[in-house]
Amino acid sequence: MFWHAFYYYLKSTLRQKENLCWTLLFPIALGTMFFVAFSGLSDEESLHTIPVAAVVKEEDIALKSVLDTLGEAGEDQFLEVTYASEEEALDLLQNKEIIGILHGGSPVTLSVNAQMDNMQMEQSILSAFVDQYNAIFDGIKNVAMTNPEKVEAVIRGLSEETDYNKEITYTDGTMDEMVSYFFNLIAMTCLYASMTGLKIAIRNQANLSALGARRTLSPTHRLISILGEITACILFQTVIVWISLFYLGVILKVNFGSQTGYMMLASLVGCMFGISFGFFVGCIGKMEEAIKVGILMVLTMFNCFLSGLMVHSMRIQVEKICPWYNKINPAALISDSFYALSVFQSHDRYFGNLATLFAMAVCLCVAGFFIVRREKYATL
Amino acid sequence: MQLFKAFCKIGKRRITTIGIYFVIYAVITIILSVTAKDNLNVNFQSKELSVCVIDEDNSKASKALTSYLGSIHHLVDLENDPEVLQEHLYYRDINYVLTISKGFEEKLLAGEKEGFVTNVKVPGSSAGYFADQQVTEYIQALQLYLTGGFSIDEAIEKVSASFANAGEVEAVVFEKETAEGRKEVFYFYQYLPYIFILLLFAGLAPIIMIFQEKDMQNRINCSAQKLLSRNLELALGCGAYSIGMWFLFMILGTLVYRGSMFTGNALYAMLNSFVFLLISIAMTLFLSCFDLGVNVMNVVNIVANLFGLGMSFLGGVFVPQNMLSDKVLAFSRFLPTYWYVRANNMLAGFSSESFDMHLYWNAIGIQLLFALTAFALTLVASKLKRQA
Repeated sequence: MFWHAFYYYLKSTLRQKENLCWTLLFPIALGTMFFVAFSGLSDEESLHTIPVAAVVKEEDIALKSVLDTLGEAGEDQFLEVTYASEEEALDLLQNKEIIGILHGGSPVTLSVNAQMDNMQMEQSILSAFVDQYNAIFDGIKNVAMTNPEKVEAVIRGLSEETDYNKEITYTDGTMDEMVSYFFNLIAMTCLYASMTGLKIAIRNQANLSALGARRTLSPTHRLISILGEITACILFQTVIVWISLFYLGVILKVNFGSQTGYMMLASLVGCMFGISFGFFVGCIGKMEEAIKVGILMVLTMFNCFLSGLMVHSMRIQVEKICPWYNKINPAALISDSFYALSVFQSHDRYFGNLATLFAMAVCLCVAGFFIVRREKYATL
Repeated sequence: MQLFKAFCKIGKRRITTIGIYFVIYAVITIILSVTAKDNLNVNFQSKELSVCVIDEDNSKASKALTSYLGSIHHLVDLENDPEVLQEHLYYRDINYVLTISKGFEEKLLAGEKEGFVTNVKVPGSSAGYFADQQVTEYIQALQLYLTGGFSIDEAIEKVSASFANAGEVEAVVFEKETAEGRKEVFYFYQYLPYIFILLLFAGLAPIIMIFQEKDMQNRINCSAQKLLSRNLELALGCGAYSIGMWFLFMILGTLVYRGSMFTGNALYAMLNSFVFLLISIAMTLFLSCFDLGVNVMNVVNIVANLFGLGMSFLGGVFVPQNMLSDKVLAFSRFLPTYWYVRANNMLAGFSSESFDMHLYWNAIGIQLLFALTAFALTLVASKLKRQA
């Protein structure tokens, strides 16, 4: 009887063309929109050559020499310097063609456009450059006044190549935070499976559907038929998520990492949770289907929101305010499993997340079954 | 007013579902607008970075460097665990991790030139470069004084004084007319397009769809009521639901932001949100023309999120427009969310675009055109459906 329920559930699901089409279209279309929206985003975070104007006098030889060195064309060109008069420089700044104006003299000063809020990082980098220049200039002046014989050593020291600050990495995994939106998209697709879980519950309750009333009359053990349907549903939804993963990872080339098998397992457990969750909500209370759908939708959206679907840093904000919620939020657990796979080599965190999801899925499924198992109806 | 009454009756039956949607989306709006300021500015606006310093040397020099970084950035205290630090870096909660290696001061005194500190940052990021620059400049300045014959205490004192006296950056104001009022209000408006699409699609579309069912349509068609009157009554129902929702959100905004909702440019932002509401109504009516199969609620929710999230991401609701590439922005111009967000950014001063009433009315006009187009498409779709 298990296989009978399994087979007919799959058959009826595959025959609901609109549902099949939208369920499959949702992650693919939204993933494509994310992909389009995020293309070119990473460039914004990286450093580009900063255009500046320099207002210098003849005596600013040192500043001019530093600016010429930093403005030399090449891969690591830091500044794009335009030497100009005060008026010309202000014109360029007003037209937002440059980030700032460097004024020669002692000390060197910087002017920026107050209306260029979105360029504040570049403005800050320029400000740090000016501070550094002035600090070194001050230092040489102080040494010259106190220990003039050491000035030569100081200047020699400044011209030597240094490597004070070495960059290291904790992992070879991706640092592209935009990938987390795709992790959350997969999490949302898994949780959307709750709608089909809800349908299973409704199809088995005599007070909510005609099919449920018919089934209540049948001598088949309810657990077996429900398990058959839930298994078929898990298979159907997991395949949908796998197709989406294939599309995002292989066709759009989203950097999910190379651990395909583990990703497929995470999707499977995610779908198991989604369906169990929907089944449980479908089993509780005597509410109308529309209300139960509403509850599922808002809980799904709220959990996805807290795991970073709309604003990727939301997950870490939740971690700071109530870290326990990230440990039970299914959307956060699914997306974090993908994160753990793509960023860390160890699987401890990944398996920890999946174990929690699996345990919650089993609990919800068992609880749902216990609610409906001996339900009797005096009238319908 | 029979149809309007029927509309109200159906709405009343669905009041619990609509209420659930309203409460959750109101909570999401408030959380988003409260946390938005940090999120929107994480890469570009903040001169003050979030830096985590791990001091393994614990010497005078290392403490001086930590204190210097603390004076210009926000120091974040985190557990020295690569997994924790990596996670905070990944979500851009911190921009930079600096580890001051053991023997830092000894190396400084010995005049060595490498291996003082290590850093972890988002590779190639401007924030990382900025912090690198400041760490290097501080160590370089310290070493300059040490080479110049000063003691470590004197060197720290001189360098600290030198950076403390660094000249202020002059911010030149070219345009007198800038955004007024509290900016937080505009973060509230920023997310309303997504919320309106979701609330109207998920709440209003299922009600309208009941009137579109075949039997219901046949029953309505054989009544004595004129077509115009029937459509007007349905439009009145949709309007009442949508304006009611809009009004509730305005009350919510007033409760959170009080008087700021009605001062300065906030009133223009309110009008902007109302115009977007019209677009959402038109899109909902258009969606209602289609037969969505047996699982209507499921499909409606999928479509709502598909349109809501897709248009929001492409239009710059969740990701600031100045971060989107030119190609994406060129495409986004064909979406109403783009014009909504552009007007809101300009009113708030979030973008580098100067406040310009002409541009604002342009954005409102374009949004109205979007609404009209969607209404026209709805009329065409419903006519085709009737003929079929």
